[in-house]
Amino acid sequence: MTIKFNYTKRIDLTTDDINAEVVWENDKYYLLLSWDLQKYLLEKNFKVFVDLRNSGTTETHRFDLGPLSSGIANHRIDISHMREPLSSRLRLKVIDINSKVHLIKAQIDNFIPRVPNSFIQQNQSKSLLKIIKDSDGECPWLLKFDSGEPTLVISGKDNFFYIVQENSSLIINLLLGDVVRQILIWLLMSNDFENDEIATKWKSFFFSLGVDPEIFNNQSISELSMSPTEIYVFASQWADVFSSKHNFIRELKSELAKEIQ
Amino acid sequence: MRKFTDEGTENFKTLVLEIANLRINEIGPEIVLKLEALVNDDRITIGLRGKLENLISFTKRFDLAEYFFNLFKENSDLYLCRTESGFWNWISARYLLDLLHSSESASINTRIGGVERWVLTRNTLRYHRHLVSGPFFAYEANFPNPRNAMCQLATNVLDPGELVERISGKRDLASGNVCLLATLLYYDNIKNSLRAGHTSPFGNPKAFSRFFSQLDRTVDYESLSVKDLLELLPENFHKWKKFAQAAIAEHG
Repeated sequence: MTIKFNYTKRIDLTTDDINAEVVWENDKYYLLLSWDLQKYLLEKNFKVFVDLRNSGTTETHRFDLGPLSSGIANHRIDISHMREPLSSRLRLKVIDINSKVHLIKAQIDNFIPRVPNSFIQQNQSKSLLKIIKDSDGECPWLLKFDSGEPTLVISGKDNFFYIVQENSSLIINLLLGDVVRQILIWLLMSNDFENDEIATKWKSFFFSLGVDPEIFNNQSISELSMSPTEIYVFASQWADVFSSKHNFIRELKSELAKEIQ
Repeated sequence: MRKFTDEGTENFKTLVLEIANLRINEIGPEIVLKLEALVNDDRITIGLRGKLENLISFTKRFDLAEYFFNLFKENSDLYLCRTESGFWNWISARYLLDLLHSSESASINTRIGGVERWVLTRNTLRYHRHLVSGPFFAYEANFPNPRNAMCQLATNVLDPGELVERISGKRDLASGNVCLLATLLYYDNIKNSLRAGHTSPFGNPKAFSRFFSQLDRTVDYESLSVKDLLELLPENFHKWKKFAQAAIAEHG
């Protein structure tokens, strides 16, 4: 039986309490951070600190965001000086600075900010996911792994591929979650990779999403402590994380609403 | 100067894995030629604007870190490259043999060592172990007061030691007042070296790291002053606390 002790009455904040997003504006990366902690009735003079860390490296940056005040806040933090702004995770702490030892009164850790969609980038380098047309394909879309590279194959029949190109946001938001799920399964279940460079790039993508890098250090599936069923469940969970991070449902609803109008 | 492409890094990693268990005197001409071929191969390296001094002249981590810091200050293109593992890995490859031979503690029995010493590994547990980039990142994280990080920068480039492993290896300890505390406890400013016996019980770096890991759950120690942190340290650190107390009394 597990018993949890909480002598300092530290509050563990939830992902519903804060909102964080990395944006690219005027050639700089900014972290847009907001929260609503009113319901916790914390003291107004408690201070808020944010630690931003890079997944997979030892880089960390600390930001003093001032007193908690009303418990609602919006901040815009320049994070361009970070080595990898898109790979950050944050720890937000509400501190009682009047206590001798600066007790943490509330916190959330390993929170991953939303980042610009890596697949459809307006002003950055080519996307990670290869997309090609299959002129005769009957299946609207398939994810293939020929030559060791995940490739999204869109049917070219009846100009479908060009329709997809015209409506890329709608279509891509619809299927990307499952694409990510399939790629993670491929990474975990492959004994070796035909193209190590591509596999490494995809692993880096999942590190930035928050997957523990250690899980990719196994030489073969037999060394993994997960059964195939568990791998499928694991991959589905990370597809959820990815989809939630990019708000696909909200984006799809918005696109569909425009179509209806 | 050059930097590796991803393929270049992979090729270098393969070579380091081959030679990791070799001793210095076992590195023959074949390996020397392989290294030279790697660092000069246009297909797996990209040219950069800038010139690098022979790193053989920097035996201490602080000196190496300071050199890179000043280099980046003068060359903004190279400054941007500091985020790329291919940049650091090329430097490792270019100067691997020079660094090995320059070490004060090197002998014919000195081994090349683990791959993470030479190839920047994207893993929170190993990232800091890269011999060339590790000192620079410690310096940068503590700028404008890099000497506060002497706990991470006092040792030789090739022999970082236990204290570096414990402090650099933990993000929350590697900068700020906690890092300064570790420096005051374990670094002798007069002798410019770590205090003798700092790794033996009690109050050693392992205990230091463990103590703050426990505290991390409930205390925001990063916002405490060095004096307050010193007061928090338990009695098993008493052997080292007196040094830190003396330093604080002297310098405030």
